[in-house]
Amino acid sequence: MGYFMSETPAINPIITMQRLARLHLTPEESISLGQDLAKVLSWVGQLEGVCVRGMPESQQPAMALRQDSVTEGDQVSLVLGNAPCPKDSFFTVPKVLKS
Amino acid sequence: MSPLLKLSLDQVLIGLQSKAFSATELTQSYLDQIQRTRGHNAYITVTTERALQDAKRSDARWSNGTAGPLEGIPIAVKDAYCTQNILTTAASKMLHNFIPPYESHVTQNLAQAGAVLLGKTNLDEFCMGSTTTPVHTGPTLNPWDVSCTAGGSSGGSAAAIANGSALLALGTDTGGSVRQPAAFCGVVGVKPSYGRCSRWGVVAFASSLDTPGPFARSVKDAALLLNVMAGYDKKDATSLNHPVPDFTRRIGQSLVGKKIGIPKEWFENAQMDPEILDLWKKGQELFEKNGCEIVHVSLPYSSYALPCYYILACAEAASNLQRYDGVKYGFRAKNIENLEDMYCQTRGQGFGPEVKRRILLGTYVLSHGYYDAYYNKAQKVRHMIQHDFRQVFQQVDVLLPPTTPTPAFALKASVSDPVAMYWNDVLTVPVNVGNVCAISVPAGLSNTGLPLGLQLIAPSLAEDRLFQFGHIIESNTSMPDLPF
Repeated sequence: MGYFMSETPAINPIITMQRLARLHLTPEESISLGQDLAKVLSWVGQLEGVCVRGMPESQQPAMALRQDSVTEGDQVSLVLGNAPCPKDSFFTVPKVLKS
Repeated sequence: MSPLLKLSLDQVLIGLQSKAFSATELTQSYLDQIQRTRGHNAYITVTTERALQDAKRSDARWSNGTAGPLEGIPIAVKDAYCTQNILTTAASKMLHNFIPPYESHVTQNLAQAGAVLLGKTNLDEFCMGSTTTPVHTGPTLNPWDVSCTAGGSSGGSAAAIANGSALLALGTDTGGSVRQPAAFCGVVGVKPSYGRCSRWGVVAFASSLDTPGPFARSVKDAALLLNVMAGYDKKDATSLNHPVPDFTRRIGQSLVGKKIGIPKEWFENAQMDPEILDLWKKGQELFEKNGCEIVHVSLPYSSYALPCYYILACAEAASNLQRYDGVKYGFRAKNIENLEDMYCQTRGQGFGPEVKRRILLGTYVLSHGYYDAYYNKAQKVRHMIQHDFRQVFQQVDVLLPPTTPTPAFALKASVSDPVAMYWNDVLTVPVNVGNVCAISVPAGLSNTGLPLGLQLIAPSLAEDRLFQFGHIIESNTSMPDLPF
C-alpha cells in the first residue's frame, strides 16, 4: 500500500478515508461510519451558502517563535519508557524490506 | 461522611492555616468520599499514595510558613493532562498504559501552589463528546440522577465536584467540554481565553480551540483556581504573554449601568427546551433588577458556528491523532503483517467509534478536492463569527445565553445520530470558534430536579467580568446543596 494523499474521495468516500487515515474498519464499521460521514457532510454542507468574499484564507493563532534547538537531550530511557517494543536504544517496527 | 467535605475553599484555607484540621485529614476525607462514590465512575485513576504524600508536604509548609495559594487543597484532574509518572489515558485504549515522563504546565502550576492531586477523572475519549461515555473506561453518571449523563467531555471532573469527591477540578474546553458538564452537574465551569492557560502537556484534540479550564463549587473558587492555572508558558507557542490579574478582583462590584447582550439568533435557532427558555428569561430579569440594561444583539454568522466547529475541530483532530501509530507509545496491535498493517490495525483497534468518526470527517475535509470547499471555507466563516463578537462587544459588556439547550438527558437516550448529538453543543461552541471566554453558573432546577446553567460570555482576556457577573447569578439563585 502506498501513499494516497493525492487521491480524490470516491462516491462512497469511506474506503478512501480509512486508507488515508490509516484506520482499519470492520465491514460493519465501514457501513455505519460511512452512513454517519454522509449525514455529517450533508449537514456541514450548509456552509456552502455563506458568502465569505474578502475573508483571509487561513487563520493561525499568534505564535511565538523560539530557537530550534535541543532543550533536554540524552534521555533515551525516558523517551523509550512507553514504547511498545523497544530494543537497545531504538523504537522498533515490523520489517519493511523482506530478506 | 466527614464535615470537612462541606467546607468552601475559603473555609478550608482558614481551617488549614489555623490548624483546625490538617491537609492529611482533609485529603483522607476526600479519598474516603471517592470510595463512597465509586459508582458514579468519576475517576479513572485514584492517586491515593501521591495524594497523602502531597498532603504531608502541605502540612509541613503550613507549619513552616511557606504555604502556597492552594496549599493542601484536594484537586481532581481530567485524564487528558499529562501527569509525570501517573497513568494518563485520555479514556482511550490507545493510551491504556501511557505513563508520561513529564508534567503538564497547568498541573505543574497547581503543584507549585501546593494543591493535592486526588486522581485523574473520566472523559469522553480524547475529549471528543458531550456525554462522558467512553468505551474504554465506561460512562460517568450524573450525581443528581444516576440515570442521566454528567455531560462531557470533562464529565468526570464535573461529577467529582458535584458528588463531593473533589473541592476543585480541571477540565478542558474545546467546544463546551467544561461548561456543558458544569451545567448538567450544577457546578461552576469556566472556558478561559484561548492561550490564557498553557496547553503544554494536555493531550491534543483541536489545537486552535483546546482550552484548559477550572471547575468549582462557586464562582469565587473558580476564579481562585484560574489564578493559579493561568500564565505564560514558552513551551506553548500559542500561550499569551499577558499579565494575569487577580480574577476575584471584581467580584462583589456593582453592575449598575452595565449592558447585557441577548443574541437573538441563538433564541431563534437553538431549539431550546421550554424550561431553558424560562431560565433564560429569569436570568435577564435578575440582571435588570441589579441595574443592568438588556440589549438585544445580533451575531448573524454565529448560527454557522456548529458546522464550522465540526469541520475545523475534526480536521485538527485527524492531524493531531496521526501520532498514535503504535511506534513510540501506547497501544500496538498484535498479529500484524507489515508496517502499514501495524498502523491500520493499531488505530482501528485502539480508537473508539466517536474518535474514528471524527478522524474520518477530518481526513475528508482535508483531502484533495475538498479542502477548499470545507476546511478553507470554515476558516473564513470562523473569521466572520469572530468579527460578529468583536462588533457586539462594542455594544455590551457580556452576553447572556443559557449553557445548554436542554437539562441533562438520560444516558440511555444518547442518540446514535451524530448530528443530533452535536446539537448539544450549539450554545457553547460559538465561544470557542469566536475566540472569547465564558462561564457556566448554576441558575436553577428543572421540573425533575436537575440543575440548569446560565452562561456569560465576555471578550478575550476579560475573564474578571465573567466572575463579576457570574457572582450576581450565584448570589441571587437559591440552589440546593450539591448531592452529597
